[in-house]
Amino acid sequence: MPTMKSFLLKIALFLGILAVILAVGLALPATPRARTSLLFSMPKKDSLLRYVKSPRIVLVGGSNVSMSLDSQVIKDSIRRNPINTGVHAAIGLVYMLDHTLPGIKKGDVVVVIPEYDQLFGDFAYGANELFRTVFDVRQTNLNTLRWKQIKNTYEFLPAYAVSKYMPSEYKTSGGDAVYLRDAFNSYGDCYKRLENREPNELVFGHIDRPFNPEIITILKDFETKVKAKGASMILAFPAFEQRSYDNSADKIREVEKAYRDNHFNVVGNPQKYRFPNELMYDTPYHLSTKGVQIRTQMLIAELLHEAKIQQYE
Amino acid sequence: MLFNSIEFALFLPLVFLLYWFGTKGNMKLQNILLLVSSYFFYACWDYRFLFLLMFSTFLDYFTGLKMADARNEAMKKFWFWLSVIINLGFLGIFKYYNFFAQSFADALATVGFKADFWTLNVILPVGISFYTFHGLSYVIDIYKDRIKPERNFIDYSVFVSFFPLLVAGPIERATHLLPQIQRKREFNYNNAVDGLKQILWGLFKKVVIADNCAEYANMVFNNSGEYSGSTHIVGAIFFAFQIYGDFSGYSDIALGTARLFGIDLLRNFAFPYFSRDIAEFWRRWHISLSTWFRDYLYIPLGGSKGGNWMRIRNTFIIFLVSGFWHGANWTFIMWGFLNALFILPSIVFKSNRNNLDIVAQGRTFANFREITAMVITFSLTVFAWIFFRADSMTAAFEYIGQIFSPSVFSKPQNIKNSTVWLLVIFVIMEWLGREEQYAIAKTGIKWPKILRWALYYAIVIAIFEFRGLSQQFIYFQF
Repeated sequence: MPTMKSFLLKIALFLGILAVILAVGLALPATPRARTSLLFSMPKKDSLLRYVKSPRIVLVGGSNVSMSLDSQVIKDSIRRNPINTGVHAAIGLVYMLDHTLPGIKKGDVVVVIPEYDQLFGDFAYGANELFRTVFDVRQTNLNTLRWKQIKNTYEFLPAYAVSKYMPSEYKTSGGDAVYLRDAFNSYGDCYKRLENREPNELVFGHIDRPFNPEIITILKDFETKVKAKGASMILAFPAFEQRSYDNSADKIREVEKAYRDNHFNVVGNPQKYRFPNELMYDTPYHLSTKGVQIRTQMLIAELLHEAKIQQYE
Repeated sequence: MLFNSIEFALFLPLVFLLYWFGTKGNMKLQNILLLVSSYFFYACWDYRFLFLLMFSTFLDYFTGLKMADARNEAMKKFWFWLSVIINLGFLGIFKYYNFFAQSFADALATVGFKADFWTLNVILPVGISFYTFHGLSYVIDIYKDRIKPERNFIDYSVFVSFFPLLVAGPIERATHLLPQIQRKREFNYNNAVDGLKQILWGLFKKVVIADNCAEYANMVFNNSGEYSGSTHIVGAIFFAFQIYGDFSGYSDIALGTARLFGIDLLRNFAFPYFSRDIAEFWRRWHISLSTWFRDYLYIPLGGSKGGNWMRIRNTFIIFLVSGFWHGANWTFIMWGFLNALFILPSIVFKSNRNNLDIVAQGRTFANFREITAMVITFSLTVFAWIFFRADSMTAAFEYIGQIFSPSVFSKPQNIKNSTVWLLVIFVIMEWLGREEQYAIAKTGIKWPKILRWALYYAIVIAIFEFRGLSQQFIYFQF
């Protein structure tokens, strides 16, 4: 009968081999499929932040920003150069803010539009998409993560490493065109918008996580640093599908109250952005082409008349 | 601390090493370590309720001793009922008070009285239904003179609080678990390896099967009315696999973990979806609860002795109580009622013990009759699960209404191919392993070591790669 020693040795061997498999997976370069994903639109967006000339308007948020605004119309109306930095909500608001800040220049108007989930629980600290961003897209940024971001994302390490061995990761065809790297125009907007799918596939249920006041502190800190650079920050609300909105109406009110109680420069109100299902594309935060037109005009009006941002000729 | 969390992956090896190496085989130290670890495990959920667990443990320990030392039957009865009333009282306050208050107010409202009852805003202590039933079985057994009370408080506390079974069972019996706690445990290589394999399979069931099915089931159940009838059918089937993967996966991890410490827990699942009738299903589903109700409710009520009417009455009572045990909602009671209804024909025609063996035992394939029986049983079970999953009776009836619509003949919407393939592989593996304790107990046992290990790595990789969106274990809420 084998002994405890033999048992422990075999476990160590099994885990050792597993560790090697994971380490090799981790070290392998991003797969072709990953390279064509929308996360790889970030380097292009980074260069926009770096090189686009002032006067500028910088849009920050998840896919509610990238997939639901028309920057060309914003540019034509406001006469500022738009930079749409939005990619994916699950990267987390904290990373979005931390990563955008170094690119902010004097005179910029930074419009932050967090998805409502960002204010609840640990969502703003990121998930799998943050892990992939850090490992695949911006490997140099590892040391810039906060402890909570690491805590929130380390569990995705095994799946990430194992994905490198999956044959499907080495095929680049297929998938919805809006979720690919090349789906973004020169402003950073997703321009491959499609018409409404009936029925809309995703309706979000009630947000069950508790409100996270830390995120308000992080937003406040970001606002202070933006102002220190000679720029300004405005908070706006995302367009949100009506049933999803109703499911979390109490939570959305909590977000609005927190924004106003903390004296942010807020434009609009959530109720205005409660969009009917027929204006959505595929998720409660993604608009169809018609929805994008309506939302863009609403935001422009708020920026000009409520925030009274400087309009250049 | 979830079984499928990194925290548990660190906690378990640490306790294992301390248990076998830090105690030098001293049984008393091992039991103290198990108790401290179990309380730590529980405190990770909510340390405030640790005191409730400790009080409940002390109450049953104390009343057990008092019953044994009682001078007469009246005193023994007094201590027995004291324990039962306090145990059920806690359960009633934390789990059922709001339900009764609301139901009573609703009933009064129907006859024109408006009553505002005071409702409690309390969190349900995790595992309360499980450890309360542990304690109840202990005091009932002492009261019925089936066992002697345990005089060692540490040993008794380990029996109630042993961390693998603390929050979601299996619901153990003192007659089965206490002797193991009182006995010196020796490390057994085969048991430990088997335990690890069972943990691995349990993780696969939970993380891959249950969590992936949950995404689809949640989508359909949370937006009933948005989808076609066929999608509703698939949603209900996926929920059936979700709850099976979730709960039996949890049980597998619990049993496997306990085996690492040289302790065998009661089996909780025996491939219930391969049952040929509802009676067989209930001999294979949540076995520790079904047998608990059989021994402590059904038999004391007269069991099968008093003829058909008595059997039917008692069957309905235990299924309704079982439904209510799951939660303070009419949906659970309806689920229990439906199961009682489904089992009724087999009671009337005395066929409820027809299928005591394993389906297609010794054969690879089932015959047509067996397949038909399994499909019918599974369909009935899935139908009852709709009530179990729905938020309210209205939601359940709406869900069923959607199924019986013309769109039932359309193609189900939004199904992920990967989930379907994972389910197919899972069902095949479960079928091939149905004669064992768990599906992969004997898989590859005669293969060369390299192939056997390849299988284990494949399961580990599947857990990493195909894991679904993490969901809370369903039975934690009970």
